[in-house]
Amino acid sequence: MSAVFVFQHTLQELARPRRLIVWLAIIAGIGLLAANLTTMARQVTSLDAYIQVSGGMVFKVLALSSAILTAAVVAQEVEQKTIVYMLTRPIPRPAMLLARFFASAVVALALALVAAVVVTCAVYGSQAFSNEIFFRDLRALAIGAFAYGAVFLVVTLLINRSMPVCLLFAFGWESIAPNLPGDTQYVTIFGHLMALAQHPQLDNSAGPLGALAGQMGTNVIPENVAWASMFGLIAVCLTFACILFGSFEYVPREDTD
Amino acid sequence: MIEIKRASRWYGQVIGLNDVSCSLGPGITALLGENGAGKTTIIKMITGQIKPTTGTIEVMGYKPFANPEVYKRLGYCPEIDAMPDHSSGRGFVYTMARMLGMNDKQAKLRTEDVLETVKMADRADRKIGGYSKGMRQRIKLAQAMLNDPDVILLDEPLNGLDPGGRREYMGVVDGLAKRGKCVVISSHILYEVEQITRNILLLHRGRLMATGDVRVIRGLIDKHPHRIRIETSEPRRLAGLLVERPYVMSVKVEPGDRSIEIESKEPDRFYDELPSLALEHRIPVQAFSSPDNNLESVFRYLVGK
Repeated sequence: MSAVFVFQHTLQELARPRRLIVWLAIIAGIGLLAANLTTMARQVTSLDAYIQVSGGMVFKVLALSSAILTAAVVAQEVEQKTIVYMLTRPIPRPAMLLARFFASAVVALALALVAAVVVTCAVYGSQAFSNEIFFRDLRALAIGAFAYGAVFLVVTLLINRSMPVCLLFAFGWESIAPNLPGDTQYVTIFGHLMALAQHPQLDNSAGPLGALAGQMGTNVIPENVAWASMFGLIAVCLTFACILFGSFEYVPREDTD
Repeated sequence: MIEIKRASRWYGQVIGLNDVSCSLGPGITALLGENGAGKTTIIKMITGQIKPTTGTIEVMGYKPFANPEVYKRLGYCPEIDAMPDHSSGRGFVYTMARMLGMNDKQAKLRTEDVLETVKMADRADRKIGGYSKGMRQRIKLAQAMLNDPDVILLDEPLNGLDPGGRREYMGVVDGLAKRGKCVVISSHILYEVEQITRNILLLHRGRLMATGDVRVIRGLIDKHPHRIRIETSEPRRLAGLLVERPYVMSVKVEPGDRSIEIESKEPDRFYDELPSLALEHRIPVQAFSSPDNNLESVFRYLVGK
């Protein structure tokens, strides 16, 4: 019961209007870009616009929101020194960690879903929900929220001030590696998510947005491998995170000096 | 309730606690020591936030590290002031109550109860970010009392409280001890601590210097003779008589000729013989006191300051 309360409480904390307002502004900006992409460049079709904005922006919102929201699970509590209250509650540590993690993943997923809806509406208008790729994107975003979150959770438990590492992974590695030739995309989350979303290869995708969407490379990951890899990654990372948090000692920096 | 056996804790190359053994039962125990003495380390080990590098700690028969069974019966008021500033005091205490496993109704009732106890009920709807240090201390105490714990640890709880607030706070703590709770209170404010307990645990540079009743500990310190001040209308005559006694090491007539101060290594013998001496020589004694038979002096003598 306490773990359920922790989930609900964390959800409320992470979804406070002051926290969400910046995200909603970013999503609005992405919507504007999607709506105007076809008019800005005449050769860009609706499909081109959707694929590039979805792959290059919506999936990046997912990665960014996962990095920031996962930091609130443990790292932020350590930074603000409020972790002592978490650690001295009669809730098993794995339950506490998972309850907080699932809340952060749900908020990250909700933000990405809103972004995906905004983009499909902006590009297709009244035909927004007859876009098949949109529905494939939703399942990719759902598994992606947990996959990114699980990886970032382990990083935040292993490294102090982990945010630069998470952001470098989300925007550096995850943007470059899927465009590289060969099998490098197997060691990215984005490559697997694109395998699940099955975005078609576009002809007019050489720009930076196309690169962010991974359109410069060819996705070679089979769908079933992508599912198995993502579920495996989530399971391994969450198990490892629970083990790490189970033996986590809170020692403020000044005590170790 | 708390058993510590040969516990040591290292932070890398630095030792935070060095081979400490003691046992703490019901009542108030003051954990004393300067900054870096190991007070917070010992509290963190008892509350299961860190593990001893060597040795063992048991709280109510359990190893406390990450142990929910211990947290069900333990209350902890940390030294740090960090709390969610956007939350209200009432909201914070309610959240802590829910995390203790209470349902909504129980948590609301218990929250009001503890807020009344710490005299914060009327101010608890304000945001914590706007609270004074004293108000934060009260909220921290409130959340520590939620589960009516058997063991309660208060880390520097008097910091930031005004004298009136300290009296009220200590009243609440005293009430807990009278109900048989084991209260461990770490503090620098020796005078205030002395008002509610004489049972101390004195740490210095990670080592346990002394444990037990402060008066007994004082009695064991041979290096520093006991100072006793006697108020009398005939200080010089009494001084002349006392200086002949073998257990009196020095006699000083205080300025104003209204009192004398003696130093003795056998205070018990002195206290036994003083009444008969005064009666025999008809010297009126208005009062006597021992200015160094207190926590501050014991602390100073033991840590060599």
